[in-house]
This record gives sequence, structure tokens and C-alpha cells, in this order.
Amino acid sequence: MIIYSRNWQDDFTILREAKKWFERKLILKEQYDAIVSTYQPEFYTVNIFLRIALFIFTQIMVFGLLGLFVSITDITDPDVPLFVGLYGLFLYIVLENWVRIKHFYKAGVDDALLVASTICVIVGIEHFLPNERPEVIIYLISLPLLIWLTIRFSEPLVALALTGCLFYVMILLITNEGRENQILVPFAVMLISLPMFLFSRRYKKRISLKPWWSSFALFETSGLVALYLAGNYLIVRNYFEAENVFTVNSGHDIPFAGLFYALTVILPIVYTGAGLLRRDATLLRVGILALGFSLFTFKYYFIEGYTKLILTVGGALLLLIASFVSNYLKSPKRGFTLEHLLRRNFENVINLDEVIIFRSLEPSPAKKERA
Amino acid sequence: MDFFYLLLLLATCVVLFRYARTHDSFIFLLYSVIYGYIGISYTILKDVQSEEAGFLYFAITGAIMVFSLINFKKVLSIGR
Repeated sequence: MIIYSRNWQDDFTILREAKKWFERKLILKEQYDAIVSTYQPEFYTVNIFLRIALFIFTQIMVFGLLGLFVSITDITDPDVPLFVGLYGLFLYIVLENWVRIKHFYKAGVDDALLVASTICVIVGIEHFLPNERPEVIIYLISLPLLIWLTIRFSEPLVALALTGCLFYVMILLITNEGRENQILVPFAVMLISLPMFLFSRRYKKRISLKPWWSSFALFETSGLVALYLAGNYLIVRNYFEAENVFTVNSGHDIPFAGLFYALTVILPIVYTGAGLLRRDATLLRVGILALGFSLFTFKYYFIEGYTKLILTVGGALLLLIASFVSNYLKSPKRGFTLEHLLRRNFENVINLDEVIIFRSLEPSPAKKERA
Repeated sequence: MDFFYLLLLLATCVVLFRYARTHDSFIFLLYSVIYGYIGISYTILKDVQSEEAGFLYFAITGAIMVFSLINFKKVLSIGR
């Protein structure tokens, strides 16, 4: 299943959490050093900034090499995609070997190889498909490939591509049936995104699914965002205009306009409210962003002019609210605090002490052998 | 004029790099490396007509950058 050893993931989490604890002065230098020496990583990983740099330069190297091969060999145009596909397979083999031998783990290089190989393989597969085909075919073929890669590497970028692919396949399947079905698209997106959110939320904390927690978190956020966007009046109206379901000068509003107005108002409030009540950072963050976008939507259609005034007043208001909340939450209130404490999300918690105790209670390899 | 801008950019990159080293700040390392790479690549590639030479440049410099960043502790003597 997943290519990375489970111990790597535990060690990675323990070291990351321990560093935060040390920075918050919750543990002493000696304790931190002891944890670092006990959980000395067997893998090569880097911090986020180096990861970004390594990702960019690996992509430059990989696609530079591909361009070089294509331009120095005499591959004629129809064969180029086939060559790209084979190159993608080669990259995938390199990736599997580098993770196994060089022990790359969230190191930028592995992310870049994964993304590049996926793109190249899909381009290669397209080469074998007939020219006259429904657009949906290539996405239907990509879907199982992306599911496999998400299971194998649990890489958020691939999980994001999988989410996008899933929604797009569904939209294409609906619209293939006839143009009048365009009206159903927003409802279909909502119909998929809601179970996606609920399912990910339910399973993201299962210990047996721990290697895929980051992917589940991404599916959860994507579900929430897609649900909101599919109900947002501005997005739906622009989609209908682009697909000629609705013409601006017809004198009518878009179909189901009332429902979309209502969803634009209600969803952000529900998200934010549920985030506050359930202490859920994902809901709260998406809710606040959605609230901002809903305000923009109503300003766009109902308030003409006054843009500068509204921006200034809105900005000042936001500053006031932010400074009030900052002051109010200086000391924790009902489980909320301004402090960016040990965990990035309130819900996606890893209990460092529990993990360390659990790991130290595990029998060592020597003990296991004796047993 | 381009040469003047390149010098200015490289000087900025050196300042960013020195800051990154003294403060163990990876984000400034990232700024200096990426801005510098873009500036130098632009200067080298703007007069290059051959497609192959361009791709060769990206393949080689990409590999050098990846190698240097993987071994950044030795190459750049920065960070832990």
C-alpha cells in the first residue's frame, strides 16, 4: 500500500511536535535532544522552504531533460506523447527507487518526481486513445491512476488532482447527456461534495488510516469549498452565462436564483457557526473565507459604485474586528485562544506524549526476536 | 543596462543569502536562490537561439541546484 514506512511517519510527527514543544519551552533542551537522538530519522526530509525549492528545481531538471531528449532525437510529432509516457514511467521507477534506497520523505524531490511522472504518463495514455472520443474518457482513465497514487504516496498535490478530476468527470458525464442538463451541474457538485466532506471527516481520525490523514484533510476542505462554490450565486451565474444557459439581457434572473441567494448567505454562517461550536478549524477557516466571498458576491450584484469607500470601510472594519478578537482571546476563552499552540488544527491532533509512550512500550527488534 | 540590473539582483541575492546564513532562515535562502537563478538564467538564455542548448541548460543547472540543496549543509554551510 503506502510506500513509506509507518515508523517514518511516526518519527516525523514526533520530531515535528517535539520541536514545537521545545520552541514553546514546554520541554528542556536535554529532553528535546534525547527525543531527537531516540527518534533519529532514517529518512531524508527537509523543511517547507527547502521542499519548495527542491520541488521547483527538480521540475526544471526533469522537464529540461525531457525537452533535451525530444529535441536531440529524431522523434517525429505523433510519437512524442508516447515518448513522454515512457519517460513518465521511467520517472516513476526512479521515484520508487529513490524513496526505497535514498529514503526521501516529503523532501521536494519525491513530490516533484511524482507530479512530473503522473503528468507524463497521462499524456502518454492519451496517445493511444482515438482522436474522436468523448472528452471524459481520459479523465475516467486518470481517475484510478490518481486513486492509486494517492494511496501509494498520500501526497496532497495528487489528492487535489484526484478531487478536481472527480468533479470534472461528473460534470462531463452530466453535460454529455444534453445541454439542458447544465442546470443540474451545481446540484450535482453539491451532491458529491457533501458526502465527500462527511466521509473524510469521519475517517480522517482513524488510527488505521493514519498514513492518509493529510489526504483526508484535503478531501474534507475540498468538499467544503466545493459545496460552498456550487451554491454561490456569483459562481453559478458566471457558469450559466459561460455555458449559455442564461443570457444577461433576457430580463430574467438565473434558474433557481432564490435558492442560490439563500445558499450564498446561509452556508458561510453554517460553516462558521459549526466551526465555533464544534471547535473545528477547517470549518471555521473555510467559513470565514466563504463569508468574505459572499459579501463580495452581494456587493458585485447589488451595490453599484462606492468601491473605494466600501473597500476602505470594509478593511477598517476587519481591522477593528481582528484587533478586538486578538485582545479578547489573549487569554483562552472557551477553548479558543490567539496563541498558535502546539497543533496546527484543533481536531487533527497527534498526542505526542501518547505516541512516545506507545512507541517506547513497543518491544525492540531484539525483544521481538526473542519472543 | 541588463548587466547593471543583473549586478543589482546578484548583490541583493548576496545580502539575502548572508541574512539567511546568519539567521538560519530558509525562506531567505529560498528567495536568494530562486531570484538569483531567474536573473542568471534570463541573462544567459536571452541570446541563446538553439532549443537544445536551452534544454541542456535547464537539465544541468536543475541537477546542480537539486544536488546543492540536498547537500545544503555542506555546500552552503547553513542551518542544522
